[in-house]
Amino acid sequence: MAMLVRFDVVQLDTVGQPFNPDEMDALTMEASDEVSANHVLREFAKGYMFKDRILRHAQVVVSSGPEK
Amino acid sequence: MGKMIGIDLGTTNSCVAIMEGGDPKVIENSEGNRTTPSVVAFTDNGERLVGQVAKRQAVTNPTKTLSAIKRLIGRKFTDAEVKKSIELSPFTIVEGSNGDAMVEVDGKQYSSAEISAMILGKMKQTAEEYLGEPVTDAVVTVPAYFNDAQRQATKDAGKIAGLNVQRIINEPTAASLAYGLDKKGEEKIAVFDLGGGTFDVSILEIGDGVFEVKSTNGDTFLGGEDFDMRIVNWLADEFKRDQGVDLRNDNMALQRLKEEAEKAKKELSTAMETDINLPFITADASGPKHLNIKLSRAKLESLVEDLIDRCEAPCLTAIKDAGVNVSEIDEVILVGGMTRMPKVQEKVKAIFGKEPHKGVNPDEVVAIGAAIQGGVLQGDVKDVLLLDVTPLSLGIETLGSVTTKLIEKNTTVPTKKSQIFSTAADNQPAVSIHVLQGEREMAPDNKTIGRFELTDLPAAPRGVPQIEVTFDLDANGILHVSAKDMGTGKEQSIRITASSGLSEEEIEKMKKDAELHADEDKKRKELVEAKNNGDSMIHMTQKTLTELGDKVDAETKSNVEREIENLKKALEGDDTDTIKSATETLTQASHKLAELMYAQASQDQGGAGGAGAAGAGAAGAAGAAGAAGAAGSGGNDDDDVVDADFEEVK
Repeated sequence: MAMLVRFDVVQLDTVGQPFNPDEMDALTMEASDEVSANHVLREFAKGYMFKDRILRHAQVVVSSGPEK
Repeated sequence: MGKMIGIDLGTTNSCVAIMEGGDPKVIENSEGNRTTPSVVAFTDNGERLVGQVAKRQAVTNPTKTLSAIKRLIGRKFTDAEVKKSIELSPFTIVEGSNGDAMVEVDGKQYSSAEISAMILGKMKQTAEEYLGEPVTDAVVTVPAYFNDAQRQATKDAGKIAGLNVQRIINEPTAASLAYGLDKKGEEKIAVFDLGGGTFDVSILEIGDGVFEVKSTNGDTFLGGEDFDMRIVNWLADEFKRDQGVDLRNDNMALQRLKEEAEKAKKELSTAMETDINLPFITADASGPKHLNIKLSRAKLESLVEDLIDRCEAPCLTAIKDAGVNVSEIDEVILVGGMTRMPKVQEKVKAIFGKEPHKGVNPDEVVAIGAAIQGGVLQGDVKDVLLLDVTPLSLGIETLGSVTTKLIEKNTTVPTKKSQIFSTAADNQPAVSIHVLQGEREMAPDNKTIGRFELTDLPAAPRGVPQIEVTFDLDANGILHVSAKDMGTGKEQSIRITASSGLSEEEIEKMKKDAELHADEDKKRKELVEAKNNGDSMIHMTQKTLTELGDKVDAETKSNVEREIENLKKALEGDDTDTIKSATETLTQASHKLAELMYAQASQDQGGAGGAGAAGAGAAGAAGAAGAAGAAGSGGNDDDDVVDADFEEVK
């Protein structure tokens, strides 16, 4: 990791963040009481960024809000 | 005049190319891909996404993510194809006021041309970013079987996107252009195009640089996605047999299966066997479950055998329609990613009795051809003349609802045909010209593409007036119809645009909307950039402040801190100008800090070694974080800062 950071490669921080299709790839949606709608519930695969370019998109599960 | 771009507007993916120094070149989009998904999405906050971004958020937003719009373009809501699309699409397809198939998002109706324009706009932008200059002219490709309405709608889409569509050309024609440039002599060519969602086959004749489409056929609901689904279903069946869980009920598992299936399919085009490995695919009471299945090429081939067989009949029909023998076909060209599959290539070989050509990337060959055509139109490419044919017959309705054809199908365009008609009743005051497109004998079975009246005919017994009807089909396959009463010289004519469903004003309005949207997008981008700049400025200044510590006098410090607070406040809002000016003020204030830093550094150089080391450490930290400007310039002070880099990496 340290080596990656040294070369300006950073891991994307996704869980709990609003879903952003520029950085993330939505796999599916799930109901959740804790995470508000359209925010990332779980991360399936980590995303990485090199400077301002996406190397790999994070694969995430997006919350659809509390179950009705 | 700027460069003319060539766009392959596909059902699933689109591609853009230009001529550069006499050679065609495919342009990568901002994400670095050579093809862009033909997907448009509207987000909850009204943002519009096009391409890969739209595809990535599709599962979170299925009703507002539009794909395969090409299947709707220029079609009526009642068309069979539209009905099928409705079944398959998660978004809403409605009937527009003019009977066109339209999509509805958030209660607002969009025509298929408008949505296609967004995709064309993205391709235009891709080209502009690469060229660094505005692009106004384009050649756009369409399937050879597209009728007049569909071509017109595609042209309208270009207009809405701010593109002057110089020529609409057929996809197989473009593909053979990409191959045929250097060829001389008479040749008959078959173009076999199996893409993501559609299958087309065309027979062309090339000679002395003249391309002529002889016939075309296909299946608009057969493509790579069907192949993927076969693999997905097989994997789900296997998994159910082993583990007793049906993955088809689990959305996320299904999505992962789809991705993996596509990957496996691609791998099996080169490898004989592949491992499909999906850990933690699902879980039940006994714990997590993993999927690990081997798929061999032979198994894949047996899974999709009937899909491949479905390609055969359209090929045979096309050969028959072209009036040629299979043995007369000199070359076979492969287009579309699916033609990489060895079994598909085998099938092509079996049908045409020839080894197919695969020199040009099948995903890009159509866009390359379009770019070459653009080059021809601009005069960059010489010695190539392009002749296309009309895919369907054109005619008018005559007595007893019979279709009288004026232009037969597969006639080379441009073409002009006239025929004399007369009245059906005594003293008939007017004739109605009902323009039809299609192969059927009876008028109601064919597609109406226009209707107009020639009035004020002088009273005469039936059969006496002579009315000359002229069909003029231009090089884009767009029809002008005129009727002239030979007795009075009175003339009426229409340009067939009604069928596209959009009037000139509507197109103008949509064009304005699109331009407006471009402005919005630009503003949004500026805002994001301003915010990012502001953020990093705060970060940098704070860092410098901490590094300098108590070496900063109280006044400067409070001054800088106040500006930081100001900028932070501005950042909470969405006003680009406020953010920019606050950033500017902070930059000014931080210059003071930089001066201090320099002063500090020169003092250190002359002063004690201990202080110098501390300063170097701080400067090194700034350097490692990649911060530019004031803080980074601290790194120039002395040679001994170089070593500090090592200590900062953890």
